[in-house]
Amino acid sequence: MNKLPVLHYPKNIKSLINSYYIALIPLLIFGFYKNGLLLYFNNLINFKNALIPIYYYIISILIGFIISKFFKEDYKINILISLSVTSTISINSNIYMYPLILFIALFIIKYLISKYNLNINSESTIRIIILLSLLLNTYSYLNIAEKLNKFNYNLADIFIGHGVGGLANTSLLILIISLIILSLNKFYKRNIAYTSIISFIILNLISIFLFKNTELINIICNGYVYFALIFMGANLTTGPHHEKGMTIYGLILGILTYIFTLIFKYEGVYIAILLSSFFIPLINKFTDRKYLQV
Amino acid sequence: MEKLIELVKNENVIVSSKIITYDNPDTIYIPLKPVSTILIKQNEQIKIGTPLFKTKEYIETSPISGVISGLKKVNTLNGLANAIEIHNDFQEKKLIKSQVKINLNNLPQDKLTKLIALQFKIDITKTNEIILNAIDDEPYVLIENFYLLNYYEEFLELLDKLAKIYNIENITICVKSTSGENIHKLMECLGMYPNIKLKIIPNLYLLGKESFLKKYLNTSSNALIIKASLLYDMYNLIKRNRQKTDKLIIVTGEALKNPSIFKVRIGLKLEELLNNYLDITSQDIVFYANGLMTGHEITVKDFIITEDIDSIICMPKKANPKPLKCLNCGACTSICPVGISPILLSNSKYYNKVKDKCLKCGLCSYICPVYINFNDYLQGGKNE
Repeated sequence: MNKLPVLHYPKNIKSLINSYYIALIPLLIFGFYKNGLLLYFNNLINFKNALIPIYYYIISILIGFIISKFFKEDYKINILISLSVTSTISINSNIYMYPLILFIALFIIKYLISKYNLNINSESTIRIIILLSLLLNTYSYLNIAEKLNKFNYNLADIFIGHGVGGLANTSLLILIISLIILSLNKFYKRNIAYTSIISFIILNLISIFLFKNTELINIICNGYVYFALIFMGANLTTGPHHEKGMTIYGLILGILTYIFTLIFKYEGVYIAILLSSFFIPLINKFTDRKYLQV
Repeated sequence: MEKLIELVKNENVIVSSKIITYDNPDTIYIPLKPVSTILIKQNEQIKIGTPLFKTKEYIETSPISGVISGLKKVNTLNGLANAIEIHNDFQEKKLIKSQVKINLNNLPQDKLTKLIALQFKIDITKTNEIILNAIDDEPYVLIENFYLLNYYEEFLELLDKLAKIYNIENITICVKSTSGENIHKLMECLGMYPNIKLKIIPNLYLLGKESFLKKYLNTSSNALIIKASLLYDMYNLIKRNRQKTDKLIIVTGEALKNPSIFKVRIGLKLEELLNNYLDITSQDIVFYANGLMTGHEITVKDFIITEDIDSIICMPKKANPKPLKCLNCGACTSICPVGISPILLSNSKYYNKVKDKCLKCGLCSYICPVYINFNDYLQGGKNE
């Protein structure tokens, strides 16, 4: 027997996943340009190496697909997780090791979440597992041009996406457009993204003002922190279930991101997301009090 | 008020404005209420208005004249029930009650007050404002709208008389912004009734509910809100000395070739209407009574159109989307018009606290991106 209501809002989880893809694709294209085509046209790498970003994208799609088949889940979700994680890794990652580690990390996380119904942030956890594994090798976020200091980039260039960072997460300009695209979807947890980004920027501005630490301006103008906050902090499933909770969560995330970025720079934001997700039950308990009071 | 939203409708469902009268069925069925005492006997000849059974609260009367043929099991909105079967003699004989013989042009106030209080449980003396509510919330259920469209002249006449008798200064007719025909007709007529105002209400779900409408209009607490269907019954009783024997119902849906509005006798079998008038396009269909948001799925066999049925919607059978794991997006809590957090319904303490506060409007399930049906929690206290 059908249960009412029969009518449904025209948008659903599929539209949210599509929004994530629409927001992510321009970043992936820019990543290919920055870490592939630009270097190739400046004779810094050969054509084969220029295709490395594409190789990582294809590998991520395949891994996401295989994992989905194994766990009988919607492949779009796992490919999205896989692509988001891949966007954050260094171009210097080992092309043989990375697919293996991504597969194992995604498999473990999916297994733990399905078996123990965990409410932890998949993307940040996978990202940290990958980091720990890749630390065994030499690990740097600089591409060949950045290592050779080939281009002299100013703040505007960093804003456009030419700063140091992951494969496809450096362009703040594109990320602003991505955030607008995602915010247009009713189900996107915009409170988390907005609060964490604003608190992160405010704390950095205070630091710049108090300690005259001008290096932080580069961090504010680079996209890698915002990418993590937009795509991983406010991801599909993890987060408190009330709007007020999301704001508190975003605030904690912004503060922790500021702290851990100072300590670990590029990896700080993933540690901050993972740690923040441990606060979710506590935040839910706090926001639920209003409703549960008899 | 900012929480109310406009529902997105299925454009394949059309609502016809053509009214078909079908008020002379061979047999009608009046379902008994729980704990009711039957007041008639088998083979007894009865008239319109003859008391059939009584409960503690009220007495049910016959909508036709005819012969009692016995009791029969029927389907109703509340499930299976015993019903009194009455064969129509088509003579329309009425049981005349002296106290309802009132002339609208010369209404004695005390008698009218008593009559309205007795028949409609309304104390009209305590009000200083009447609001005629012709707003339908459920998509495709435009019953109040059609009552106003068809009887607006009668309504204006009655409202004007009531205003004069009870010195009521403010009378407002509320119609939805989408009811173009009603707005047009009322604009033409209201010049003759300077004391009656027209208020156009935005097409937002739940604004037809008294509490939300009062809040929207910012009216006093003693303002009297009367639905158009109720005003029709009042007019019939006061002006025409006629009891409620018929009603308008909308029959529409994606699986129906010829959606129509019917004026039917209360107690009619739905099957009779379907067989005589309606053309169904497919075999695998589902029927819903009283709308797609808050209504019920029904079994057509032996289903009786009772007073509480406003619409029958016939839709092709579709598998329900499988509910997925909650995204924690908070959309259900944000949309709830009474501030309930549906995500907490699995908590038994919370469920007990809010089960009476919930309007069962269906908005939480409507908005949920992963198709969680919160009705499951509300109906059975599901604990998952």
